[in-house]
Amino acid sequence: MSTDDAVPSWEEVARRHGRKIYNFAYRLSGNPDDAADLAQEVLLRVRRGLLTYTPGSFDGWLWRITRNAFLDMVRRRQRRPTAPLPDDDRAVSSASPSPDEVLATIRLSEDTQSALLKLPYDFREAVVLCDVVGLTYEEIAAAAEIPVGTVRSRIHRGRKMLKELLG
Amino acid sequence: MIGAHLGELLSAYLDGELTGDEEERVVLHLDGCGLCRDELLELDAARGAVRSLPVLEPAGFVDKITREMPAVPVPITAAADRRRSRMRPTAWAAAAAAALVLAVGGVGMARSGSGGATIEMEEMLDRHAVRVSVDPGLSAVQIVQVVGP
Repeated sequence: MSTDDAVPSWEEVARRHGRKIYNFAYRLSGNPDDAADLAQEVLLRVRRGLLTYTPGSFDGWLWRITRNAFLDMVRRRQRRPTAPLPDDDRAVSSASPSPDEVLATIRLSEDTQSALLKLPYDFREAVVLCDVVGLTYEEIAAAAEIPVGTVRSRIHRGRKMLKELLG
Repeated sequence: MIGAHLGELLSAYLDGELTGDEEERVVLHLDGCGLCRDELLELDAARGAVRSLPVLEPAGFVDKITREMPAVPVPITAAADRRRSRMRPTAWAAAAAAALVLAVGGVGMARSGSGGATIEMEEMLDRHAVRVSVDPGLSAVQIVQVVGP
């Protein structure tokens, strides 16, 4: 992650970070519609924000916007993040013929996503920012506006909870 | 004497987030503590499970949105205000949403032959189709799996 002096264009931000923003929201919510909505909202806020952006820690700025947009969306809808659809063997078996190992991989991903969604929000967010988005502890601290020590603790406890859930 | 167990230092160790002194302490402790070695393996498994989740992206997501938007921020001037008034957030959001509403039937064709990625995508689409059937208000977002971070 970089600390650039140059202010990137909106287009650069979209190309460089759009996919990560989408995946951040998808892994936190388990819902592709929420993820797409969030990514659009974040990029809109980025476009506005770049007009007055002061060069500094760009990643901290971007992920603070992303996190706040996600929390706003959750509050606006006044519902908990959607759990994934229950295991649906019909959906899996109706896909084109698949090697067993590919299906096993999909099942593992579903188990992990399901376990993630069971974590309390603060722990889920810290784990997703670290292991999905790839931010450093310092960048997560800047985005979530919490001390680095709290980030360390949340990631550790989040992983321990995940381990328990995944068995 | 190996001292207290390592606790959250273990996760930070896996992430390369320790200071030199902390890392030295962790390595020394692990040499003599089976409990912490076991915990390290468990944490590494949980970390690996999340890190190995497939990266997803609505097909053409970034390209479509960037086509709908000005390439660079414009200075705040009367002219810019006029331009912005023609591209209000609601209008932009509607345009972007429209760009994301894609025909599900074309997805398999567009990504056929992509092996495991297609399976993940199709499964996502199946699930999304179920959602849309339950709640017609949801838009149909095309999902594909992409390779790499």
